[in-house]
Amino acid sequence: MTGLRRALLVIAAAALALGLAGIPVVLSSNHNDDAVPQLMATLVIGWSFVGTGIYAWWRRPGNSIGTLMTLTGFFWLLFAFNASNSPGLFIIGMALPVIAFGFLVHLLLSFPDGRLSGRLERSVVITTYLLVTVVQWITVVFGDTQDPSLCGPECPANPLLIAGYETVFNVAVSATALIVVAVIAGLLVALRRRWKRWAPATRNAYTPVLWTGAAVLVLQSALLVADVLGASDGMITVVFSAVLFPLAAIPYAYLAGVLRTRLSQADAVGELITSLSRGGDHQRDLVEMMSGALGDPALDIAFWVPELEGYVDSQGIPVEVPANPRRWTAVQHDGRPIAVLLHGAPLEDGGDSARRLAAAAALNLENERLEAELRSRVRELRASRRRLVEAGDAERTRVERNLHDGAQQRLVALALSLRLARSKVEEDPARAAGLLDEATGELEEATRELRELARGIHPAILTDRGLEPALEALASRAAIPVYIDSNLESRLPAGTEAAAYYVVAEALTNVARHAGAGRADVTVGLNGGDLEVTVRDDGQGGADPEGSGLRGLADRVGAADGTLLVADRPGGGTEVQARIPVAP
Amino acid sequence: MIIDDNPGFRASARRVLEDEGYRVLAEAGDGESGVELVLEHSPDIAIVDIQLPGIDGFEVTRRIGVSASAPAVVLTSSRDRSDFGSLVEHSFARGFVPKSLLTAEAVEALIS
Repeated sequence: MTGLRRALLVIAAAALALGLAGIPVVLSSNHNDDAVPQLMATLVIGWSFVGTGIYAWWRRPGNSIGTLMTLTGFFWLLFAFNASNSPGLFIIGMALPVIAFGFLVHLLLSFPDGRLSGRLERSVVITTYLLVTVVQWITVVFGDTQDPSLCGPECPANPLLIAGYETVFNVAVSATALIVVAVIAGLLVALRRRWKRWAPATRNAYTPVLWTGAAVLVLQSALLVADVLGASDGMITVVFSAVLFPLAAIPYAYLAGVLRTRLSQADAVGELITSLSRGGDHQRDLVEMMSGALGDPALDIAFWVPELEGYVDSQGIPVEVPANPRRWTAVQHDGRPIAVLLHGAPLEDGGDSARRLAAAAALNLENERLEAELRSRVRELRASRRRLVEAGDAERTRVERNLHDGAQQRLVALALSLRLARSKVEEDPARAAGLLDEATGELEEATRELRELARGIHPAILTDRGLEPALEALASRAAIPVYIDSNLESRLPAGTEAAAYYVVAEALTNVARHAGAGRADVTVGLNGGDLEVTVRDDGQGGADPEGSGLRGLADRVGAADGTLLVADRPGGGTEVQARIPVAP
Repeated sequence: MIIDDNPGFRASARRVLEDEGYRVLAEAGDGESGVELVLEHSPDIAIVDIQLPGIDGFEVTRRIGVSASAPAVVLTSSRDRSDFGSLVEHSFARGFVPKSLLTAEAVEALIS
């Protein structure tokens, strides 16, 4: 037996005992004329609340509705003691049972999810609790129970009475009536708002709970007002009896709601299974079926894509899951996440109904998930293809600009110098020689610039000698010491070597530009069927994987079916790691 | 007057022209200041590179072409003339000389 179960049994036994203890008190009362009807009403209402409350508590331990119902019932059972001939028990029966109304208001305003939301709901609940404790106790200590307006001369004397303050007592009673009217008005507004927020399925199931609860509180406030206005005893008895019926109905309205929800969920699951087996062709159908079954017209489904470690919609577009955990339900299949159901309104049942439906549709959801994952990959491929084309265009522009601004300008100057030298050969040989020297210098510069440019386009050493010598050459030209650790024994396919080379080249360019590092270490090796290339530096870290350089590199590695990881190193610095499958 | 953003070419061109007895009144590194200097010095000839930072050589030609003492404009570039389509013909310029073929004779042939 679980701890909760044992505790609930103890509570049930206590409620039974409390109710039974009231029976001799009421039957032996010398000041209660309606002993038997009062006893019946007290026990029926008190035990109904406690019983239903315990059931709700057991069904959803995290939801405070069960606790509130149980407390309402407990305090209600104390009503029996106002029939007691003993002053101590009598005053308990006068002072404490009204607290039940505090719990009842709290219960209605947090129904059915057990949470208050908004200032109005909180204010109404707090005011009610103050009313049934602080204000109630003022009337208790200043109220003479032997006064006919309160109980009568045959009732026990109030052991707590501070006599001589009738005015305080009267003010407290009138104030109570006024506050109650205000509280009830606030409560009705708050209940209406709450009801409007409910999902249609919740409304279908639980609207009667709100109706009966509101009726109780309206009648109860009428009772207080009638009392203050000095209505006849007969009138008050009629209104009081009228309060009891809806009050007794609340727990049963709740139970009916639970039953109805269960039945409609069972229906919904059944319908969903029938519709699924009939076969629909697209995900829209699945969303529609589930949205119909859950009674949530705004329902949507997002699918898990492990590669993105996130969710996408049916078109493969990334979706943010709301922060509020009651707005979505995670669906798993074989222990793996497959989807989340995104609800239009917060769920009050902790997602049970949604999970049940999702379990029924798990296979269909998994199929839809695979499709969504495929669409997401297609989207990513399209985006990466576009970026590669753009990067290619940008690269061509750069090469054209470098050629034009560099080598071409030098060759122009060279041509002019040569032509000038040619015209001076005879008349001024010394000047001609100077011009030829200048021309030689221009030619050397032009050659050097062309060499740099050609290496930038594609390093010849990579094609001719392979990855390791190409990386050594790259390291020798780097601004900081670069240590290469490579255990490659043979040449790899050209595409793999090129992708690895550019990972190192771009990473080292970034190190030189941004990292402020003292050294960099490059590790190259085969791991399984992959070429693994890692570049680590001891700089300041904080590289942005979405920056254009690294993004372009990720696309290039992705085009070779590889993956690129960029991360800050624990002790500082950056680590860029690429895994590139060695193509056959 | 020479308008070109490449200082190396400006120096070479100056030398080529001065060697043939021309006087270079001023040099400019971009189009805007080139237009200003033309208005200030009123040269007879302006050698204008087509690709300039800011406004390009065609725009420079258009702007200085409307002034009263408009100089004869010779456009130049290290690119081929065909790279510019018919823009050279439709400009106020007297003609086009590739940078590598810039000589005093080539300029004179165009403006005479």
